[in-house]
Amino acid sequence: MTTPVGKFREKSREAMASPLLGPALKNATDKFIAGRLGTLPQLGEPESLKQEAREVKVRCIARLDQLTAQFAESYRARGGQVHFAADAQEARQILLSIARENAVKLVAKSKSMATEEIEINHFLEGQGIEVVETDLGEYIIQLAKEKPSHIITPAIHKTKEQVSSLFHEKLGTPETPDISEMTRTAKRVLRNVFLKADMGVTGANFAVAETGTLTLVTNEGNGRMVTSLPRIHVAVVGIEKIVEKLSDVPPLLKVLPASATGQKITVYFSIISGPRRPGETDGPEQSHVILLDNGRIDMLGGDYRESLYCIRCGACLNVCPVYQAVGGHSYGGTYPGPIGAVVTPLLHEEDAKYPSALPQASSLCGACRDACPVKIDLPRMLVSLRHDGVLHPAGGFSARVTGMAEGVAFRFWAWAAKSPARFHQAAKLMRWLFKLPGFKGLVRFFPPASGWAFARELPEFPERFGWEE
Amino acid sequence: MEQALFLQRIKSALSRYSTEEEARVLAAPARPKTGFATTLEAKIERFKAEVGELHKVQVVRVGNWDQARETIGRMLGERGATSIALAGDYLKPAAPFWKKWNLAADLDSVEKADVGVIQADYGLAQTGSVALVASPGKPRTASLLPPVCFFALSVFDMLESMASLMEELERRHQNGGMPATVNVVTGPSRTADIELSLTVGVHGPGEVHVLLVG
Repeated sequence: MTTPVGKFREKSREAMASPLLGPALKNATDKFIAGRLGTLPQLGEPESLKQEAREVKVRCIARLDQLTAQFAESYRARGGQVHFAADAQEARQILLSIARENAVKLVAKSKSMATEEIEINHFLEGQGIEVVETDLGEYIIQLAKEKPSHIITPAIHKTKEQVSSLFHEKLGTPETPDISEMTRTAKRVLRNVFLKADMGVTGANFAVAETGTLTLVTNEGNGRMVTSLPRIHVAVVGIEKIVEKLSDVPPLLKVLPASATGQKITVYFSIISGPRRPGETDGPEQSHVILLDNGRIDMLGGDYRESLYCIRCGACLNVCPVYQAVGGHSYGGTYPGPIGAVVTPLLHEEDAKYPSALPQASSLCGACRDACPVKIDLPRMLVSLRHDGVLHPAGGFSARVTGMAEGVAFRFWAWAAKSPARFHQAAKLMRWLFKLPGFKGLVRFFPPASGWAFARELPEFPERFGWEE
Repeated sequence: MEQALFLQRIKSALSRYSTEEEARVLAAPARPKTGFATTLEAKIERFKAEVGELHKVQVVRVGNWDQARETIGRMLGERGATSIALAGDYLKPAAPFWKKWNLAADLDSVEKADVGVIQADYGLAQTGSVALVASPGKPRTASLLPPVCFFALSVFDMLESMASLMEELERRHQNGGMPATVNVVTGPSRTADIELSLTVGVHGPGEVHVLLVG
């Protein structure tokens, strides 16, 4: 099959056929869900915590023009340099020119979705600059030459045996079943990288306009390392991360780790306002921020604005029955799960494999909306994207055929359901059709039934309806 | 892209769409501040309780900075530490006291130090965190590179929560003194990236303890 939806299905089937992935996903998503449900109520009444966090995002995104200008001004006042990137290519070029001007040979990266989105690793390596991921999970998948499969734990799909043989193969360490030993190996290798790197690249969880401050949450300490040791710090920041003032941060920070890992707070929370001050003996001598559009400004200008409220906690992934079954790689882009299904078709992500298929990768059950710490109405946007896909020629031939067939079916349904006589006649016809030999076999190959019947048995048409008792 | 054009694009995108929710939120008055701990002792108790939930973090309370130094000296002796990275003015005045140990003077020796001994600038009672403000006498790396870290915190620097820390930084900003870096630390460095199995001490210190002074 060659349609985008077909490709998504193909990838999903592969994922579901893996004997290791299913249990790993279940273990992780169960733990994260329990963590979130256990921790949020300890911090306050969950609904009001979410409402307060949402209101910060609503207010700041609605004023994003002023706040972006203010952030740029304040960041410069702190001694940093500000760059604006319309797309991934421009962001990579800016990074490269900063690296070139400073004769950078080694870049240490801490985990950042924005840098995944613009794919800097291969690009810089192609230019002769070594890039090393320093979050343990990211380091593992970099060694394995894979993509993250979860926003919070990127190597969720790997077992310890796989990690052990990966380290054995790439680093020459002996095989071991001991996770702490593997962690020590990574610590030893990466410590050297931190000390040698000329440039540290990070994202930012929140960027504060009033003070020109970037904040980072990490547990391992790699975020602190790459913003303390290399002489240059570059942060790649999606414009939606900008908030107005320092006091906007705590309501968001309260719900972020709680919704992500079930922690009340991460081990490290770094509040960084420009390069080191005179007299300080560590910290970057040069600080840059690259403010990234890459589709975000278009999202701001319409119905999908709400998706910019996302704080990338991963809660919607964990509760999603589709994600739980197919895992992150099946989504074919940087952002998996329900939020990925919404933003991947909207971001200008060059590497996304089949973005137009992703809004279909949902049962619209609404679990994501209930889990979201900023109450993003993901199902509404998924439906809206499906609607756009049907109307828009870019949705592809198959989307249009499905759309047309669904349109005819629903119009027939509306007509039949408006009169009891017609309804009964129609039901009779359907019962008769369903009894025809081969009809069920045939109908499952055509839209609209084909999509539904892809992974389900078509039921019998009922002899009587419930209300006819 | 030019800044002016970039900002113009954001502005025009904002003008194309708006929601009732935005109008409501923008018109609403600022939320009142909420606090839980009224007294210093209540904050200290809460801090101790929160630290108790973290991974093997000990919290000891001593009466003054002389006692703090003695306690730290004993803790260093117990673990046979020979070199330390020391940061913070309150710890330093009794310079002869530290003669028993090699004091790290540069990055290389900080990296090799057995223990980081750091005067924390603030405590956050609600989460059992300490906040470290970078300054010429307090390098970021002293609390990051050694495998073990002791934090000493004056109880009078105990704040309620992250929100109180942000208010404090807001004040510093107004006075033109926004620090280049503040690190809020809550327990030992940890990861769960392999099979979600909790492992401490991946990049930062795997063991941290807190002395409350006063």
